[in-house]
Amino acid sequence: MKKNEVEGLSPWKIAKRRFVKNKLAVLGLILLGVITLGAVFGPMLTPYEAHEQQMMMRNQGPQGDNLLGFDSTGRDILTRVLHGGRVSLAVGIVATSVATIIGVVLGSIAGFYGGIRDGVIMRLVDIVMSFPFFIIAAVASAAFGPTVFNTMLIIGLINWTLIARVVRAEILSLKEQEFVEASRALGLDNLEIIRIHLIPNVMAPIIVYSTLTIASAILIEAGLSFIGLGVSPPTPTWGNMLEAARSLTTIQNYWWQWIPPGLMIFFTVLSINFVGDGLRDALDPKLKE
Amino acid sequence: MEDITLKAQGIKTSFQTSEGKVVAVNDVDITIREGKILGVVGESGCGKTVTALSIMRLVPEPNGKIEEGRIEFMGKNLLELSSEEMRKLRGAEISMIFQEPMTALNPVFSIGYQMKEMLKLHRGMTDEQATERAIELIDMVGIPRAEKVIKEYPHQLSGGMRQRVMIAMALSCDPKFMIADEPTTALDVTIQAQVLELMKDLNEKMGTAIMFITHDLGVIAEMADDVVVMYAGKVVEESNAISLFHEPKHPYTMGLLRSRPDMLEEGEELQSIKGMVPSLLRMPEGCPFNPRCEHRMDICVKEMPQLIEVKPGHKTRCWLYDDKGGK
Repeated sequence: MKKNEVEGLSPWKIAKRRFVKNKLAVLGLILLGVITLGAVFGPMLTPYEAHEQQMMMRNQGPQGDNLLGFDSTGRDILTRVLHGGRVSLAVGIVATSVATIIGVVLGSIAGFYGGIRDGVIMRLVDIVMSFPFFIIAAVASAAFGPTVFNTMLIIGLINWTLIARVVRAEILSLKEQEFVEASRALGLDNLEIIRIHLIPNVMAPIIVYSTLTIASAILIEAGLSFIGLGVSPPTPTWGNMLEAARSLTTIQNYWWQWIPPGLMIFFTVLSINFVGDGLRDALDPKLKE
Repeated sequence: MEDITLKAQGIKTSFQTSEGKVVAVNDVDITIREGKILGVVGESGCGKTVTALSIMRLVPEPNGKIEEGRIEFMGKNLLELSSEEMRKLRGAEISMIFQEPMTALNPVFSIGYQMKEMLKLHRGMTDEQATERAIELIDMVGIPRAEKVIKEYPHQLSGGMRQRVMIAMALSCDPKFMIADEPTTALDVTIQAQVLELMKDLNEKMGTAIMFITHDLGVIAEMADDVVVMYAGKVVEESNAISLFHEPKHPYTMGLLRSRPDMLEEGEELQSIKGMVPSLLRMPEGCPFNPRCEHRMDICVKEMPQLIEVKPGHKTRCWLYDDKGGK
């Protein structure tokens, strides 16, 4: 490459450049990277199993090999925090994928076709948005069982409405652009226009909202598990580790049982939110550097 | 008789609006000869674009509707094709370029990507073949450094370059017929001239018949072989370009020609046609041009004149040339 050549800057390259300039977002990304790596590879590094009990060590504090001590049944907290990270992140990502797919498909159908399809889909959005979430979650987990998979599904099925609305609104204005008319004149059918031309134009808000949905899904999973409706013990998640440590004695005497999972939730959600905000600024076409 | 590429007869297209039904195009006949350029002129709102969209079957639904007519192209009546058959024809056999080159390209994809998409869709080319063809096409429409341009994005190109890209895309599958809807209106004058020259050139080289919509008679004089003058959704005059400019028949055409500054002698005052195009909701009785016409007669406000042939190949819709009009 010659130096003075003007290089074609794709929208992605421009966004990347803007993102890197945002210090908080980069910090969030690094933190999130560390947490993810810890969740993925961490459990392989600790010598204990998540369910392995050492009865002699119940409620023992941090010492030697056990950096974060033991819980009330003698399980290694560090190991469980790392395993819990896998579950929490997986729930966040899978639930968000479910929500994003539903939201994008329904939102683009509603926005593009309008008329009765729009009416039906948007009323469905209104209905889902007025569900009392925890009651639905309680019913669902009672009916289908409090497994990881069901938790992912429930969170995903409730959280697609925001993305659907955003996608619909964007497509409503995009479909009036002349390039849509031009693609039609060039022989593309409706589905191709939506798939090839419209959705890539809506990618920026989709990415931003999905990122923020991951954060809220992790929080919801923790909340559900804390009240016993999410992933059921003994599978470790940050939420049910907090649940196990919620007695007053534990909170007063055994800080190592509840501070680590609490901090993990806090840092994960915070870093995802930083990344989400950074992405929003980086992908906003109206902002010129 | 020469070969006819496309023959539209009696097209009637209407729109449902909140104030009632509006007939935007009423009984319009359009004939495009093979490899020739047909100019369609008229003021804003006279139905030029709707005629074009009707031929493409792209009249916005559900409010717009082609009510009557027949559009013959390649031995088929386009209005009877299924939407799937029509879709396959668009871009491959008939293509269209639009007025506004700034928004007619998708901002998030590179030029090359958008051109290749067409070639893959209609011609089933592989990625490499399509890339090669895209470079060739960009080269053909006179954009330098084609290999670079296909990697660039629409915002990096100027208006004139984008319109050239649009022309290249429209021609990429060697269509028999192309509609150009005011392709140069949004460009500045020097670029306009270049783009017109390019289109004329491509028309001669590739033999693509063009329906050229404009409100600029100068452009018509430059480009067209045949001319159709439209007024308020009707064809008011139809002729070959030379005959139209030398012997305009319809008072509206005469008015248009008189309101051009470059037809004036020095010191002569520029004229304009008085009044405005009537609203399609409140069409006057009889000839739609009668409120603005300086030759208005009694019959003009009562009855719509027919399109009659005043001289071989030259038709006009005016009572002045009709026996019934009592010339």
